[in-house]
Amino acid sequence: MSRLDRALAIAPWALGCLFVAGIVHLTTILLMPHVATRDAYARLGGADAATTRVAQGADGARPMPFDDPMAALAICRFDLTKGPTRIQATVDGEHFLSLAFHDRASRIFYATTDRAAVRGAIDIVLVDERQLAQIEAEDAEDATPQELRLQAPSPQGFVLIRALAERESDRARAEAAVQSVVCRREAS
Amino acid sequence: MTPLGDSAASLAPRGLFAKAALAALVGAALGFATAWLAVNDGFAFGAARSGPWVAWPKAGAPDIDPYARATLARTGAVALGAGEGLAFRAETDSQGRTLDGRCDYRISGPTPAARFWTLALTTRDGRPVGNAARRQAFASSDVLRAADGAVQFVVAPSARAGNWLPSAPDAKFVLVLSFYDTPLAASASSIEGVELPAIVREACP
Repeated sequence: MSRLDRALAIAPWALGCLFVAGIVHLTTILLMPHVATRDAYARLGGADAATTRVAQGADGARPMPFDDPMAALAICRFDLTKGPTRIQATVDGEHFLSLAFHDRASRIFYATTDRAAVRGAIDIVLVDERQLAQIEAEDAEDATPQELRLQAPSPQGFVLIRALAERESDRARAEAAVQSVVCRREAS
Repeated sequence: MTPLGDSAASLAPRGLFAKAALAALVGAALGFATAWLAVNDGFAFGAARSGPWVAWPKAGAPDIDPYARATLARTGAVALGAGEGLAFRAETDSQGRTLDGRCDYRISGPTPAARFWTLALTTRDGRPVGNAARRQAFASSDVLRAADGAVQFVVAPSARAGNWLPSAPDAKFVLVLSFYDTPLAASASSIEGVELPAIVREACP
């Protein structure tokens, strides 16, 4: 066999090998957010439809890496199969407060800050497609809804509530701010 | 048919099967290995750079790419939402040398418009560095400013005057610069032109 013959004999196997590698690589990447057991959702814990504080260690350590030590955090898990979830926050117009809506697979589908508050309040209802249709059907003809209706891409997920301490002595105020955000299930 | 051709024909299926199994095994191993490399060493795509600072604006947007999602899921990190702000990381100084806890660094320069920003020091894997001063970060509202409003930080393993951010002398570190409520658009092209503070290495044993 010449060198060329040998190369030609190996070529289909090498191609097959690369083909399998490509499929395994893509499948692993695409499945990772759905099978990871140590993602932020798992690490943060928290109760369903309730505001839960995310504790911070003395050295500023938190469950997630690279997180800002100046931020106070709380989490509100949602499960829309049990009904819509309402998030309400009162803001003072001076201190930073933000809400990041995460789906179950490591994607932020919506984020807002206190700058978007209307008359000092943030009022968001998380719904799925069916619940949104139901709420809209119940709306009065000429009334404009007071709350923001947000359709979640997955039935489960969490809202990460973040307030920033302006200095170490401001931390208690920031902690109180994130824990004052209301997270509760609506009757569906 | 010769006896030789006969035996070769009966062996061929077994040889083929072995080759196919080997190709599949090697392929699977290669696939897992490349996936592991892609998610364990930071975000694979979508980086926006400005000097030593790197941000992943898409990581906090609804159109996040599958690699960034896999990385977040694997590391347990959360990105800042596109509507919340944007965080930059630096693993090197402005000259491209890895940030080393034994050295002194001076960080100064312009910061883009933002309602609020913070500068934090973490280990290479994102954990805070414990220190006697209990200082892991500075907030923009908490820094000492020069008469002209300029801000300057010093990163060093032992106490310094001014805005001192302590590093651990035995470890490499990462700086995280986060901007909140910032008009920095969530697109890589507009971020690359943003001027960020320089990280200059000074004394180094």
